[in-house]
Amino acid sequence: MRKLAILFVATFWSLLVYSQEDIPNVIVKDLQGKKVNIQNVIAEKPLVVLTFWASWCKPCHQELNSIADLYEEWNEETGVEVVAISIDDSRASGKVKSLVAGNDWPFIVLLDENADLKRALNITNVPFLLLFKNGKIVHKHVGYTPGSEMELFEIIKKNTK
Amino acid sequence: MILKRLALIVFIGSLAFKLDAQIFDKGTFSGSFETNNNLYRTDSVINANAPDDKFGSNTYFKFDYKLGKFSAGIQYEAYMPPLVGYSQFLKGNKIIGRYASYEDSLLTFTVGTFYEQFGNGLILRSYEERALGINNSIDGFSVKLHPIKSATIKAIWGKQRKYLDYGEGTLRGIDAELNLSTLLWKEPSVNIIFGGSWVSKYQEYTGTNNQIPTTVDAYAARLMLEYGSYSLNAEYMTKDKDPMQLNLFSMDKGNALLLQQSIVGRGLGATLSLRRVENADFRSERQAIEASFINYVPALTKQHKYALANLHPYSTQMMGEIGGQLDIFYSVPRKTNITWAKGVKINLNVSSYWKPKGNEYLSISDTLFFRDVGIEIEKKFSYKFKTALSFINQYYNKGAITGGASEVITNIAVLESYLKLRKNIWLKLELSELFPVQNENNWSLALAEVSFAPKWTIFASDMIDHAEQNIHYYNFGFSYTKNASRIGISWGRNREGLQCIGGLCRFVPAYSGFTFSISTVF
Repeated sequence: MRKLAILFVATFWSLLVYSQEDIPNVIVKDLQGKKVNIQNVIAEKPLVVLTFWASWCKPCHQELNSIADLYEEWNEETGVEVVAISIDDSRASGKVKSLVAGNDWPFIVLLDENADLKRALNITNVPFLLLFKNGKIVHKHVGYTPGSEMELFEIIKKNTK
Repeated sequence: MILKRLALIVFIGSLAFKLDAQIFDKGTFSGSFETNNNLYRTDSVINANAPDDKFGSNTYFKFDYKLGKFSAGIQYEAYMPPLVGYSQFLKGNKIIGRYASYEDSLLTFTVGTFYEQFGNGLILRSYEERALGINNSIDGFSVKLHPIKSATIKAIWGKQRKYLDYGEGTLRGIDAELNLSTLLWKEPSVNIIFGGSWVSKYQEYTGTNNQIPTTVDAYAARLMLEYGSYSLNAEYMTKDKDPMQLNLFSMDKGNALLLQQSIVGRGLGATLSLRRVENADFRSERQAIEASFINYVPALTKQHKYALANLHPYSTQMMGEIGGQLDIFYSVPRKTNITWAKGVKINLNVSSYWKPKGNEYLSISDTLFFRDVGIEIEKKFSYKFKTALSFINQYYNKGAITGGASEVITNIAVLESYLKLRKNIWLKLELSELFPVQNENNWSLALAEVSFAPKWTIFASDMIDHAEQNIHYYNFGFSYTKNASRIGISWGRNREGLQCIGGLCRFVPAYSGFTFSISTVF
């Protein structure tokens, strides 16, 4: 009963509070093995797409490949930057560096080996992307279907105004 | 119990504090909800027996609250009853995760449930993998310290989660990491990172065998090195004698060695991993069979995206294994002049694991456990049409891995295509064929998926086992996605077998019926 009451309070609370989420204070690794705080990666940039992926996730690859093809254009037009977070654990995190180089992805790729950032942002499944405007989350999207990068670009453009 | 109360008090206290302070715009609330439900039916064709309840349901609620440097949260889980393939020990519902945490640039302090990994996880990794029913989070406290920018020190203490409760064993651990390059140089051209860990478990022993230790210590050292396009990641773990159920009460020490090297350039990357493990199972309870993992030693093989390549997944042979994996990724430069090569990407993967030879540390025996050789070629013809071709050859020593006496050898071919039909409407087609070489049936798979970007997807697939009589594993369904929420409904048959994520597997019996899932992030 007590647990139910807590859940109830928690749910009620979530309805009461409305505020935009900030970037969590979480350490991830860059492809050189250096620790970086995700706040420092995102904070200075006006528009950032943070996208979660894994080496074994087919739709994630499609999404990243389609963004890679459009990235130059997107960046020129809106100044948006893309940061791709690999949630691969030590089974595959060692080869992410090669995978990124081999795919010639033009954006920043970081490792979230024990899902600390994924957990902090309450992400359940990949692919999952978030759009940050001046450090605040303005859009979230789960899954990828071919062509949905077009919708994403529309949302990015809206947020440049 | 005390920890639990403390965490709850801090959590509720932080809410109350927030109310009092009247700073509604400062704190944030976030969370997620996920539920997966199955209605089972008995289906004699695939030997699927519906459980007594004919129903299974796994649900997860997570709430986090953050105010400045403080945060707190809970996780509620309900298995009413657990889905087929999950442990029946999960049955029930509970707020099983709860934490309160303080963090600033110097220090992070957490009381309650937390997740942690030391190095590559060879010595310690607590994590959550819902798809496998794994959650070995630690309940206790953890401290992370950054005394200087180039160094991190972590200390943990607690008991590990076991199903919807906590296990008997107590864990203690310390990990330190030093980035020598950033310590010595302002703009280092070479990157050198050292690390070391100690993890100790304690479990009371009331039996009569005075050889059984109550405390088992493990140590690990690691080095990461990067110079130009070359990088090295090495770690060695050693563990004191740790007699337990899983190693048949072996009195030997255990160890694991990982050596990973990469060379990268623009459009090209190669990674070679070598690993040797011996008696490396490390659990917080000596009677553990399928829970209480302390360390994480995943199978270093390719995690295949295609179903037929996953019929015989390999899992690490913790008692003894030696082998490695090579991965090469290449893509033709975007601005190439060669028309046919435009948009081509190639991935080559080879992995092979043997039983080690008894007394020579780095030699292999005649027993091959597993080998996987595959090539995948992707070609993007235009924005509207993409295709990928894969060929995979697998050797799986069923006799040595799961018992019995057979070696399974297969060849698999996969063709996958994406075609844009109209604005925002795409068709995905996947055709696979498994050609048996030894001890397997011929299998075929066809899958069609139509997506209406960005919200709807409908799919139909059939996987056929060409046994004496063809057995069809059909599946169809749809999903609807809006922003961070997703609903999926499907109907069909699922083959019995191992479901593996990250090199850990759970056995899922054959099941048939209706699946319904919802997930949302807020």
